[in-house]
Amino acid sequence: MPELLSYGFVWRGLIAGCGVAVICSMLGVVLVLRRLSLIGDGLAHVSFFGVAVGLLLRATPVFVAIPVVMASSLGILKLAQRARLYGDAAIGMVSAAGVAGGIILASRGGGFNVDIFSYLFGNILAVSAAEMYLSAALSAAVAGIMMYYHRLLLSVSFDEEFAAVSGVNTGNINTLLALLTSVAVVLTIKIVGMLLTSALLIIPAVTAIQLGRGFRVTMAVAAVLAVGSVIAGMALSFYGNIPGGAAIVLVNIIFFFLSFPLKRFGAQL
Amino acid sequence: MDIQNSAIAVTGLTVSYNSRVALEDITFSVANGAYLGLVGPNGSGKSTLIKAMLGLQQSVSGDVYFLGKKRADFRERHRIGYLPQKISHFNPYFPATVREIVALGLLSRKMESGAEDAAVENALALLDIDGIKDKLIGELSGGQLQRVLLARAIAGNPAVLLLDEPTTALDPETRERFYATLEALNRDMKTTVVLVTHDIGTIGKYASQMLYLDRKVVFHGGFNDFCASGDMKKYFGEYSQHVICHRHD
Repeated sequence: MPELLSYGFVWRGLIAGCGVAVICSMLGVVLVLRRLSLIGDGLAHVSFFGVAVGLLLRATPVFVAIPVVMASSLGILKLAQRARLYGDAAIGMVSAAGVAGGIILASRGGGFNVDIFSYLFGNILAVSAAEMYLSAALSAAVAGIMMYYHRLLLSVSFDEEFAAVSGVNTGNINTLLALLTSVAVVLTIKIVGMLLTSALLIIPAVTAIQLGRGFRVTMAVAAVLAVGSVIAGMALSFYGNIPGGAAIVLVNIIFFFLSFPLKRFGAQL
Repeated sequence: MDIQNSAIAVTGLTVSYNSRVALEDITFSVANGAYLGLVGPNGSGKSTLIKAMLGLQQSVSGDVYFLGKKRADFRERHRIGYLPQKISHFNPYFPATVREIVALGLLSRKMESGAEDAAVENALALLDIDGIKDKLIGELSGGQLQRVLLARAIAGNPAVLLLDEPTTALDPETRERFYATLEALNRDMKTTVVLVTHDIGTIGKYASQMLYLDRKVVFHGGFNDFCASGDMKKYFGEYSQHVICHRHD
């Protein structure tokens, strides 16, 4: 067994990291195809506020951030509908409000601003046992829901009008997607940090879209690539002494560029 | 109007955008197994009518019935097929196979996986596209894509098929094959067809009923009555009587 795997903190990071990698990549395929990639970035910014509230209340930040980010994601949907804004404008407004709120709380919070800034960059090697269990449980739940509804997600992503004619409640599916993305974003900030969360949603998905033949296959390829990037990124982090989040994202970028020659030589899956 | 025995019935349908009336008090019915040509000038509300009938466009007033039931109470959604002019935001890199897209036509139908596979294979064979079922939709020509979307629309064995200018992007040969397939569905499967088109020659060849729309119903009736109408030239130009009414069969 490699030395890497003899440490408990490595196993905790691997389990939590692989869980969020699977759900981020599956959700990412849907978000990218629906041109909603930046919702992850926006919600990651909002999570800054949620974490700040959690630290101010001396509660576990993730527990506070999840409902805050979920509420914000619903706010983005409502804002886009009621104020007749384009989705990206609504995302921009809500994420700016989240960052502004987080900065104000951090400036008032005295001692906790060191902790909050650690969430900007994440640390996969510092995942606690409680965070690991929470990540594993929520990741399993989100992945299960995605698999159960994958045909509805395909229908709404490909042609929302036809989905509505077929009797699909497209509003409910959009709400479900926003809520699942909120959970994934909050779980991911511990792994790669708020600044890089959207990378784990977007990059494995776009790489898989290059290689996958079929919607289900593409989701599976995205999940495998994302898990591979977490494992390789952790090894890079451990042996190269570089930040884990950045290493994971770099591995994903390498996978993306490798997909082009693979596709040229007909290696579609 | 015999709502109970009509494939489609529309009563008093009014649609407006930002206080501008797009459709006013539309009332008509389509008999079971009929082939309705829905025609009218640009901006006359043809696509709006189709979308309002399907619930994709909110109406100010009026009701829509499918197979005798109000649309809100109509649960067998697979019995309504819809083929749009084009898919909004169509993404040519969408990683779905032809088979996956056709199977979406069965979403509202509770089926065993074996029966679902058979229904998809049947729709693929009917449209003569079983040879491309494993292709990605981005790899298809415009004609192939439109046949795939028609296969998706008919996979659930619909009683009613609504098509909104489905052949706009097709070359003449592909367009003819598409219409022949549609006619076969109408003739052999007794599928009620509602076709929005500017292709008046096609309408003349296949339609049994006509609806001429210009924000309100200008004409609704049988094809022969339409041809006998003195306003034909006014609607369609000098030689329209010959182009539309001379059936080429």
